[in-house]
Amino acid sequence: MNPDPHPLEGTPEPVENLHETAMIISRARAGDREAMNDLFQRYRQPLERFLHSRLSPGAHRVHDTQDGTQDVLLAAYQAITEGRFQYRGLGSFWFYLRTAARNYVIKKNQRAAEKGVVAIPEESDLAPAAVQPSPIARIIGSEQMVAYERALEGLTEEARNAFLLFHEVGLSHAQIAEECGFPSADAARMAVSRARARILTEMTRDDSDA
Amino acid sequence: MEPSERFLQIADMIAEGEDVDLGALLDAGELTAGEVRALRSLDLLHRVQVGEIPFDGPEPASPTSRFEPLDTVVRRPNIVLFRAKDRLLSKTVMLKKVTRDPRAARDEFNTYIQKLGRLVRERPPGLAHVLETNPVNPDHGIPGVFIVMEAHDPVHPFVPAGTLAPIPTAALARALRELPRAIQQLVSMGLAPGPLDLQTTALVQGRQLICYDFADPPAGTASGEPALNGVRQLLHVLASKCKESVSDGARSRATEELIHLLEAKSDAAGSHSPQVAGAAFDAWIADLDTWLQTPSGRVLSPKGPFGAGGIRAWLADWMNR
Repeated sequence: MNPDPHPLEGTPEPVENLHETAMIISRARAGDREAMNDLFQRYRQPLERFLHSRLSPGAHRVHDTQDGTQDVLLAAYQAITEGRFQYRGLGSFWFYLRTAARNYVIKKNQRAAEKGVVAIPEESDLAPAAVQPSPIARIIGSEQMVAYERALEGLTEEARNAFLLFHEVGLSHAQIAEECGFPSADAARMAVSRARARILTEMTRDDSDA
Repeated sequence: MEPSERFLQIADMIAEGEDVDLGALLDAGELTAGEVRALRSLDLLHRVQVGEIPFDGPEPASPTSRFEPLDTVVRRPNIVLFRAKDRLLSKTVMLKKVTRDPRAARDEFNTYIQKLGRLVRERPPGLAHVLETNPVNPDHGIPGVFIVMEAHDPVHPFVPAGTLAPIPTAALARALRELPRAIQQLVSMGLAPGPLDLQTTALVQGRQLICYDFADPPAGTASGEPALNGVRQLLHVLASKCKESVSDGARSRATEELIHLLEAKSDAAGSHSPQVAGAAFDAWIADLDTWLQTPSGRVLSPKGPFGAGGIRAWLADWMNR
């Protein structure tokens, strides 16, 4: 057993918690300040995972991840209460959050690069001299990350939401059907599968172009 | 090109949680390397985001990596040994790093072997196959990383097609595999210096890129002379092992040329002062200019093994592409 768990460790957030977002948003709109706490509680872990895996080593510190989570959720809360965000299901909300999180990552990574905080050990006899990408990009490759995001932008809103709810939020096909208005779980499965095909086609195309 | 039905079918199977052996499908030719990479990437993104893979603590292995980082197993003053599992050979390999910062060294190591793993799995033209990674003997301080890459594709991205001789990789690979033992013998006989750090030996279209690291001269010595002696010995061993591994009648012209090259460089490295030998080595490396031509015609000019990076920087640059 790890006596000193990492602050970001935790069990996967139950999907049901995220599934009740509509209720929180309606409370927020009605001026319920506790809704912000609920929003933070439910989305802290998925957002932290998103940020933590995408911040570059230069920008990457635990408090940056947690600060980023707070910034993104606070901005989302303000957008809801000020009427700048219209809730159209969990898929649209998650897309809103991940877009804000991506912007945060881009800003932080750029700032870290400008400050030259990316350490390249001069005495290295093992590592190639290169700017270090984010942890997830380091594993799957920056070009795959770009292709993935580009492919997401190319999907229709319905297809994108279905895909994200399955692959990033972890909802079942039945839950996706309910969230996105598909007539059945099988219809949701087909929509996710088609969106996945588009995404993978883009990622493969990018790979063959490289 | 539109994706195959099989590719999409496999994508759905993975998404539904089925255990699919992508490596086997790649080997069977049912999927391309690019398709496998895309499938593994998407699966990893999914599993990280929904919390199935904790992204803290040990970093998950690359979806395309052959090596799985295990841990730092030995720490001595300035020496860190890393342990990794070679999935292909089903054995544990060890790599050595001389450092004052074990944590940074571990990060470097992980990055490095993941990049190598990517090379292996993606099989890009030119460099494709890591044949051997040999263990380090910490008592002798012999080379910590010993990796041979074999060229499979007839057209290296940096080399105009048809300009190079056939690849004598099999012969050289056999020879290289025997090198650690030979080096060990040399070290025990006092002929090869301990700190010689043979970094990466890459075979590109039958030409070899040997990346030595002279950054860590032995304690108490200011020059690279001992390392150069080691280089000479290594080249000599390479040449003789090449000779042994292929019978006279079966030797191709390319193999003969390679043996000649190794012997010549071995002589050059060993018969002069370190400075002259360095210049000779630089000249040899400069020959690589003709090999390192990009499709656009740009020539990458390595600065030689004594420069800041040299071949290693070129290889790193290529690996980062």
